[in-house]
Amino acid sequence: MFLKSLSLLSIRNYSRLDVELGPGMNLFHGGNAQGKTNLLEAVSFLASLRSFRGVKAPALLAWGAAEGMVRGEVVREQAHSSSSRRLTVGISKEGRRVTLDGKKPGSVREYLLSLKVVSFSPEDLFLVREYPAHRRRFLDRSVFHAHPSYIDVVGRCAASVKQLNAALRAGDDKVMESWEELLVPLAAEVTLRRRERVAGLGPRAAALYDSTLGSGELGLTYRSQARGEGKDELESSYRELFRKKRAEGIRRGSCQAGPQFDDLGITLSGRDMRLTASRGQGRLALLALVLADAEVYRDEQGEYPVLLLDDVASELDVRRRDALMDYVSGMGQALLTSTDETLVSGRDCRLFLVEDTGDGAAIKL
Amino acid sequence: MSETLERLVGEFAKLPGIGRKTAQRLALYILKSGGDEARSLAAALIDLKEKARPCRECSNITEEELCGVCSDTRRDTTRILVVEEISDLMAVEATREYKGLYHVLMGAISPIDGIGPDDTTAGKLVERVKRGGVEEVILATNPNLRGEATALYITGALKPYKVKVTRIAYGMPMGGALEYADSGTLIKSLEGRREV
Ligand SMILES: [Zn+2]
Repeated sequence: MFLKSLSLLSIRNYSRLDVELGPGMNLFHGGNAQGKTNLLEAVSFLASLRSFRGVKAPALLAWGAAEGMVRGEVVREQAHSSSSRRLTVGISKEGRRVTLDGKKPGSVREYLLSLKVVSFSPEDLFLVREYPAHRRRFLDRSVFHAHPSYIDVVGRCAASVKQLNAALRAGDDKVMESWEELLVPLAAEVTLRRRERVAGLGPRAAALYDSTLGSGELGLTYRSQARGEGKDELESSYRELFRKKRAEGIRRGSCQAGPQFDDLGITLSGRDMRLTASRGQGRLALLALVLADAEVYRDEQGEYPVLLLDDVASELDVRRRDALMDYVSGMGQALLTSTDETLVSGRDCRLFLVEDTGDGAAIKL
Repeated sequence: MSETLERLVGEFAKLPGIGRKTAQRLALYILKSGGDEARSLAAALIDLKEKARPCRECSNITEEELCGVCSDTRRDTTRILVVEEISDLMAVEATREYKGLYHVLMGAISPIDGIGPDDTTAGKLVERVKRGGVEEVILATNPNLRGEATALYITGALKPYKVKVTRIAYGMPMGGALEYADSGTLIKSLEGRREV
């Protein structure tokens, strides 16, 4: 899968941009604060409808603009056929509006399935370090492309947790029980799917870390309050947990069990990276995680997703940098940013110079 | 626009499913029509509010103590079909396939909206079952989270009584509503109901 073209209208420091991308490596280079990351943010937003900077859609609008747009043409080549779809997100102060090939898609799910990106950004370091919510979302997105209906399960699970919280505050035991019972199969499915995902990502990420990126044993584990092998066991475990933690939930005014407490554990040679990782190790672990996600996607879908690597080379020594570029050039389309164009010297790569001369960013070939 | 016309347009526009344009068309239609038509519409509106009331048993709408279904001696009184709204009852009645009685909850349990069991007629349903004579309670709340939770709540509340509780099978997507299902789907859902 690759992005054949990208257009921006009033996004960040781009007043207008139309660019044709190559199916392999594409490097956006230039000085700092010229708009390279904004470009990747726009692509990531086009694919996931979320900014990797964690801001809402209107924040992507250029200063003073009332409306903006991101559009991309996605080409997929599977087995014996190739297809192309045009994805558009219109952004206004009110939010966003998506279209697929000019028409409102049947569902957001259909839209989201049409482009998969995996992205590395230095701003994503918290994926390794802090916020479990980011790690859960990373897993949820990864599961979604293999099991599209999972997006509804996650949505229903979150809505039920909110209802249960309100029920705990309202104080009717029977109502609490009903919402707990409704939550049980949803919670079990979320935990099960994420855990399966971690089992698939783990060996891939470990191999990448040890052979290409760093050295040491990278371990991924899925941590959950719920115990048990299959769905049935997880369900009875959650049923038990909800019952046991109800009194505490009433006291605190929110439920104290469920997959919203689960986490992806990342260890390096047995030590918890959240606590002990250096900045460099954190970057490499994140990179291993992201590339593993791309590999698993390819195993399942038969093609690589679009790889977004923002400022990936800085803080890497030359040997690792070359090893990483070797690896990336064997994958599908990659959009990279760097201040240093020698990152890709001697490789088959399209170069784009990004410059903001004061009245908005522009690209020179 | 004249003040009286504006007032009627405003009133119409408050109704569900009626936009400003439609409201205007309706108001202009009333303006053009004979006085009898306007009077009969007004009388119908007032009659509905003054004479119609919930059925003592099932909360369906009626002008008497009991609604047309509850007072019909040909209906099968051993079965009660539980729905959220009167519109759901009307959708099931329209299939002409169901011969039992109903119970209209007048809502669904939703803690975030502050709607508890006492804001519905769930308690009255339990009383009806307690009195005896009911063999099956068919839960036909909507296939969304609130409808499911409400079905679970009622199932729990009926546990102490000797009554079969079934949930209708939905051939429609999760998140749909009973009243919008076509009659073929409704009939299939009823036939495919399962004991919970
Ligand atoms: Zn009645």
